[in-house]
Amino acid sequence: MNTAVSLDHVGKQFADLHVLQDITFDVKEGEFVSIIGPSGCGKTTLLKIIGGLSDFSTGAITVKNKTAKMAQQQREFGFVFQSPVLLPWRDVMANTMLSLELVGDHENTETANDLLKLVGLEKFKNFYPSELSGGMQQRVSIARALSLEPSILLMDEPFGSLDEISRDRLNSELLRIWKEEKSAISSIIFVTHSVPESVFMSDKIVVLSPRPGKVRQVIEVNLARPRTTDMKYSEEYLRLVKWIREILKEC
Amino acid sequence: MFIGVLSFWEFIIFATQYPEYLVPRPSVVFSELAANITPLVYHTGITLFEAVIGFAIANTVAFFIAVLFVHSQKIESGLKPFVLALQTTPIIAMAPLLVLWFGTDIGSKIAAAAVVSFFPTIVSATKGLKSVEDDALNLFKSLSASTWQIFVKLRLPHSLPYLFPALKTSAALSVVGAIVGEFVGANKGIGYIILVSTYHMETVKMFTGIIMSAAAGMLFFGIVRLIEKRVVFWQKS
Repeated sequence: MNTAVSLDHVGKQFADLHVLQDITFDVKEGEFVSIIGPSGCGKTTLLKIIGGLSDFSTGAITVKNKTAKMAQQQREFGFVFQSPVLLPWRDVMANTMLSLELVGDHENTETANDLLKLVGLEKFKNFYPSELSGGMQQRVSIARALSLEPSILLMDEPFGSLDEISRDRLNSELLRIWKEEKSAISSIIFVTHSVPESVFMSDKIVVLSPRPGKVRQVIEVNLARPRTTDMKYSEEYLRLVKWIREILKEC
Repeated sequence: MFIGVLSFWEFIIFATQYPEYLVPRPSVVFSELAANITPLVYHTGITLFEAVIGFAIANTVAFFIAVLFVHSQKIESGLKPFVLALQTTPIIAMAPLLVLWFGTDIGSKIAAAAVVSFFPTIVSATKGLKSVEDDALNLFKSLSASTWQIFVKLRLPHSLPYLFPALKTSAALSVVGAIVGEFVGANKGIGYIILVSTYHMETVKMFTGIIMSAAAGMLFFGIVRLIEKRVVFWQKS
């Protein structure tokens, strides 16, 4: 498989403060990679750097043979943030249309309709964000992220503020959407602070240690796809969860 | 409740035979109000006109400056002391100067109304335009949105719930400003009525003026509130 994103000794520092140091790992086409670590280890900063939204000080990033900035400008990335960042004055449909509008594709309601169907919100098109649950709001933000057909989805603790039940449901939903034909998403980079979530979702887990953020370990997850809830009781799953917890304990 | 207070007031004045030129009975005030309603409405209209024009000018300028503040740190730190100085100077101290500059006609009243309604808006608009969530900005940047797109589609609508409370305050204040302007020198407007009735010890007439000025303030405030409910429809009270 080809490499979609490649980080080579990436570092970032503010004055004397090293935020990230020597970050090296690859994300292949079609791969789901989680970045996990304690708070303050620079996970979010790293995601922004990959997405071309933040500068870095040392090393190199290649995204499909381009720099991160170029990839961002060519709309290779879709972003889903910690909070859904929906605009409260726009209904679900108009929020989904935002990305399309910004690139001048105002009339493309078809894409927005398809995506709302994909995330299961076609009946809520005319609802305002304040009328939706947290999980539904995050679904809208996923639909919005998919609307410009990015090939890489960058997610920053997207389900971190949801209750466990909604989170489990959205995890499975996300895996389904990812594999759906309509989505152009090839790779997903997923920041999380939940160990079980990272194991359930990923092909590869990058464990970061804090101050400065460094790659502690890169772990391959050899669970079959599609993932099912039953796998959460499998030996391999439990072994990985335990292992990562132990690594994080030492961080 | 309101009726109760008025009745009590009426009764106390009646019972104590308190001199009418100090505190008139509500019934006398209201019959005076009814008898002179046409000229009173005319003068109130003048004041309200001055207030509305001053309000419109001040808020347009204030919002424009707030936009500059948000986009340039230099302009903000350079202009802010002047804005603060303008705010802390009492309008009553500036009113004579405004008459000197803008004449005894409505110009000076519009200026006074503008000066007082300027400050709430500039503070709230700056705050509203700035307080956009970081991730919202990241979202727009990730889509390579222009500064103009960020302004129109994000900052501007985001600022409205902050802006309207300031507009309501400055609507009420602009009426105060116009009346203060009229006190310094005028031949029409509700401030003029109040001032002239003071000279002649016509307390009843003065009360009608006070009532009308309160009504003008409330009317203007109410209109802005109605617009707010329409515009900021997503804001739950």
